[in-house]
Amino acid sequence: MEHLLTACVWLPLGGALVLVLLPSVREGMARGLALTVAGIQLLMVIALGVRFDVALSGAQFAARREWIPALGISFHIGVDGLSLPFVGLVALLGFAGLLASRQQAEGMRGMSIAVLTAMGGLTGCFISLDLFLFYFFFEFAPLPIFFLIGIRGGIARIFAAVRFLLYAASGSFPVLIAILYLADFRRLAVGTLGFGLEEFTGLTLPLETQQWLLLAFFVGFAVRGAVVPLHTWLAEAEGRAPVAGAVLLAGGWLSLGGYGMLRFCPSLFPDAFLHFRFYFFGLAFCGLLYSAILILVQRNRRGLIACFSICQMGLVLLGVSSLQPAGMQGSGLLLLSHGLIAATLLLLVDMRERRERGEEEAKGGGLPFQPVLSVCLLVAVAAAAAFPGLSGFVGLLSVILGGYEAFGLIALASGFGICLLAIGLLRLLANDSGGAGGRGSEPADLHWGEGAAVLPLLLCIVCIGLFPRPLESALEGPVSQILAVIDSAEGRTEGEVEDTGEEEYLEDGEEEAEDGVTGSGTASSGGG
Amino acid sequence: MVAMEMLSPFNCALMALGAPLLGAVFNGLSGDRGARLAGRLGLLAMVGCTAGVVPLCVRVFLSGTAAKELYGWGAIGDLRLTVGLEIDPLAAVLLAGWVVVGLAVHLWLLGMEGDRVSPRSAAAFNLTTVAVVLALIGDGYGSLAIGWGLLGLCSYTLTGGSGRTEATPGARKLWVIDRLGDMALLLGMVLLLAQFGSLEYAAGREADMPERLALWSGLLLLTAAAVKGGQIPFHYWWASAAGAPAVANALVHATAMGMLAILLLARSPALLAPGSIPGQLAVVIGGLSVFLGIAMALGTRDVQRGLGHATTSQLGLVFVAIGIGAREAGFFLLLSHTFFKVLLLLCVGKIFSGPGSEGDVNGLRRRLPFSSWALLVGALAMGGMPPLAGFWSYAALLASIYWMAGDLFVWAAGCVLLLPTAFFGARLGLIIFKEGEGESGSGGKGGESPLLILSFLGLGLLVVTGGLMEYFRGEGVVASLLAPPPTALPPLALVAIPGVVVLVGMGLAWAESKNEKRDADKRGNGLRHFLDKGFYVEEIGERLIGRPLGATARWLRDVVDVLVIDLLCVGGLALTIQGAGWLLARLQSGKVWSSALAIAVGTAAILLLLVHLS
Repeated sequence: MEHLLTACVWLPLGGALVLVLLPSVREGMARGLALTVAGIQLLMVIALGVRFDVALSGAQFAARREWIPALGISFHIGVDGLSLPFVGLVALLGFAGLLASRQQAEGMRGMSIAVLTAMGGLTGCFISLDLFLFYFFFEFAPLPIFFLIGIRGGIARIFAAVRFLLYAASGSFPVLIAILYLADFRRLAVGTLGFGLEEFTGLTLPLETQQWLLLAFFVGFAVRGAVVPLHTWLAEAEGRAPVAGAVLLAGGWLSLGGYGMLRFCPSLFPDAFLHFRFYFFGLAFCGLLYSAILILVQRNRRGLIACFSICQMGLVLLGVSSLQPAGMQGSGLLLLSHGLIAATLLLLVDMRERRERGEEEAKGGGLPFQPVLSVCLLVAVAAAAAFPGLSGFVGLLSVILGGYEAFGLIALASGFGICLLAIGLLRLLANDSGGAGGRGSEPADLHWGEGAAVLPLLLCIVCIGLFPRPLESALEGPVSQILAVIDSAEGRTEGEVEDTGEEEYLEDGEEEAEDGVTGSGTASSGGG
Repeated sequence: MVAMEMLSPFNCALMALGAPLLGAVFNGLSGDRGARLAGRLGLLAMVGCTAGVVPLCVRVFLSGTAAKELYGWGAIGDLRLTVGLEIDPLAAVLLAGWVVVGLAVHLWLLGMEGDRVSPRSAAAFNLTTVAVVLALIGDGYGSLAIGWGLLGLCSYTLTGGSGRTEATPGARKLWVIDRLGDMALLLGMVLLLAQFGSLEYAAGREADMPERLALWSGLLLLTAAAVKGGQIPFHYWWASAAGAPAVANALVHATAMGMLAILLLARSPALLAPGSIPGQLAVVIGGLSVFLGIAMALGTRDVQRGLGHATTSQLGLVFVAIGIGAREAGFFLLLSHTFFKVLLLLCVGKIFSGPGSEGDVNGLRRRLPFSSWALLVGALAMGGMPPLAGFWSYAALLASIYWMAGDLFVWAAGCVLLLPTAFFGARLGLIIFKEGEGESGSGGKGGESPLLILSFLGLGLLVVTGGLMEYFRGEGVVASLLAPPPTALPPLALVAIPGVVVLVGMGLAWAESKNEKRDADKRGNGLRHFLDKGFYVEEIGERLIGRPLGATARWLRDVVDVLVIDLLCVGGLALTIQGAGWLLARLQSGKVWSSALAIAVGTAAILLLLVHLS
């Protein structure tokens, strides 16, 4: 199974390489090849999911190979309940995006290469267990997305792409410095250089250092997650990109930001996170209200979807900052559900817009009625508006529950933001089709390729809404590990046992021993 | 034995839920191709639902509450949430009532439009049934919430959203208000989860609850119910709903929404205990709605809107009953209200269908005999005419309030409020006797098909005999009315006085209709407008919330996003970097004097630093 996981990274990259090396491949064939690769990738992830054991804690299917031994960098990968869903999400979205962009024969080869590369890069980010490897993919992933946004575009598209790249690069630079600092700190503590993720979690840094490093990490992920006020690139990038790019951007790239906030920030810098959590909560709360208000005056459909994404990211941050099991599980769930919903919305909106463009060119008497398309759109918007029984609701419920447990009644006010969001999203349903035309080049309703792209996503949305337990149980293990680190940090600060100047390298046994003592401490502080 | 196995509650529930769901899916996706079959398919699905509901109800009536845990739904933190069935006698009664209404509506639809039923609305009607059944058979707030959500979608679709053309403003308003209600429900559920770790109804029945939590969750759930039930101050959505086809109002707005709203309150007795703040608030909101709702109904000329406002008023009575603790009487009124309101709205839909038929009611009895007599029966029942179902439910409800609250004044106030209700009902019913100069009545073309008549007959029968059925239930509320617990008032008075009040009100309406023939009443237009507009609540909300929000949104978009973040921060950073680069580039010009200057400055700086450090 380890090889399967390794293949999840290399298969799409290899596919892209083949496409690069075969310049004579025709556009349609390139798409077929890319689609096959994405489909195999999806099957592999499903196979991994079937073999995945929810009961085990820690990473599964782990594989480790030395990469740069002198620096202690290794190609160390593995998945746990938090990362596996996102690996699946990336594969699914890549596949759906390629399937949906059937009509754009021109430039298809370049786009296929970019989509496959982005899939490989994003998957690499989610499964890395080595911080340097993570950073490598973290830096690598923006490049194909940059091409995806700017591909075949006019000046506005290139502007959006450059802006995206600048944001991404300026966000990842602090992360690099922080990672190097961490590695150096660890080297001083234990004597050897290494970047393994689990080796960092027990490290106790001085509070002030932690604060700086946490800020660096947070900024890096907040830029990727489009957390307010670092969100202004999103609407433009999402608006300009071709649909496959927009889907990966909304589903994979933003998820990466949220994933980073959830996985790395609290567990690497627990003391600083405890110190900053109220600021994070404030940021999240303001951000979600901000975007919910902003959605009321968005000018186009993709802008609405971008606002939806920003709002969801605010909720994700809210869940993370609660440091409660419910909130953090909810964050993971919401992140995944956001990826699915935003991608579905983008696909459907693109399909509708394509028909409208075709209609304009054909100068027909308005679009014919599209029952399947409009029903799909209705379900997707309902999911985005957190209708019960769909995936958005489950995550929202547990995020607000976590927020309430941590911050009290104020967290309930975020419900107001969701209301506004729902009101704004209604404009996605505005249906301009009124005629009985159908003389355009497109068929009236969804054709099988489009349906095959959208229906799996909708099915996932409904299934997660009705049967969230498997996913929630999968998230439970990683979340409790993160919270154990936080608990021990809380115990340290409460007990004031150690001076902050000393480096301390906790063994696992000690950590667990402390958990029992600090459990009551969190429970009492949770009520506030 | 096998038959009994087949008729297990789970299978019945599956049938009751699955049949309409399938109907909705087929109709919803078929588009125009399925138009010819849509109505029949919808009816078939409803029949399938009935086939599931009937054995379920029989079983529950015979052997009590049926409950079954189905599967584990969520695992949030340490909480383990489950989904299950729980059908108690209350749910069974409502289910049975709903099935009748649903069948009647589908028959009506087929009778009215035949082959031209819009698949989209047939799907929405089936989905409404799914929503109601789901909410009734579920064992927790989760399934209730799903039902609410589905109902919101149906309401939006049927009012003109998500169809062939741009969504109507009414549909948008309904969407907005629905989301508000759903959000209140979600937040209430969060509080219940935080306290009990469960979303089953047992949480709402729990007696010992921390006061603060009970208060907040009670208030949130009450808000949610008030929104869905169209209570003051959320009554204004009725004005938007009135733009929907009458049949949509009959099934979704007047009945399903009200039913689920009341169900929510009834399932949370500990949160709305009589005497607690939410309980008292329910009484206040309900009381205000009873009075103001009927005032608005009298103030409007639009028949559908008037019926909507009357629904506010009648559901207000149920709110009062629930708030005081008289649940049985509340549900009796809810059911009889469901029957007469659906009957009324279906008649209205028939009579006022077609373009240009508003207000054209001349010679109705000759053109549409069944519809007009059905309208009369429905209207009189709504007005509380003895011995129709409406009368028994009003009288029983008032008496229950009297016994529960022990306050004669409240009872008397309720009786007085029956007067305008009776007036409104009679005024509506009397339009069938209107005879104009010409015989050119054009409303309701196409005669009455047998299906239509069947639908009216079924509902009419329930409206006429509802009180009797309730009496024969033994310990039902009507029985208790005729053999009440000992109180200051004699039992006969509890029945007779409301009856007299109702008759007086109807007599007034009769007198007014005679009067109106002579001179059209032009007085009180200002007040009428005020009432018709629903006390301008919507306008005030728009001024106080809508506009400031819009302005804030524009300000955020144009000033904060573009000016502050993009131009000042991002652009400023870019300019700073560019400027620094430019400056450094200038220093590297290769000219000797500038290099010399730089070296001199650098040396001086290092020296200064060394001096400072030493």
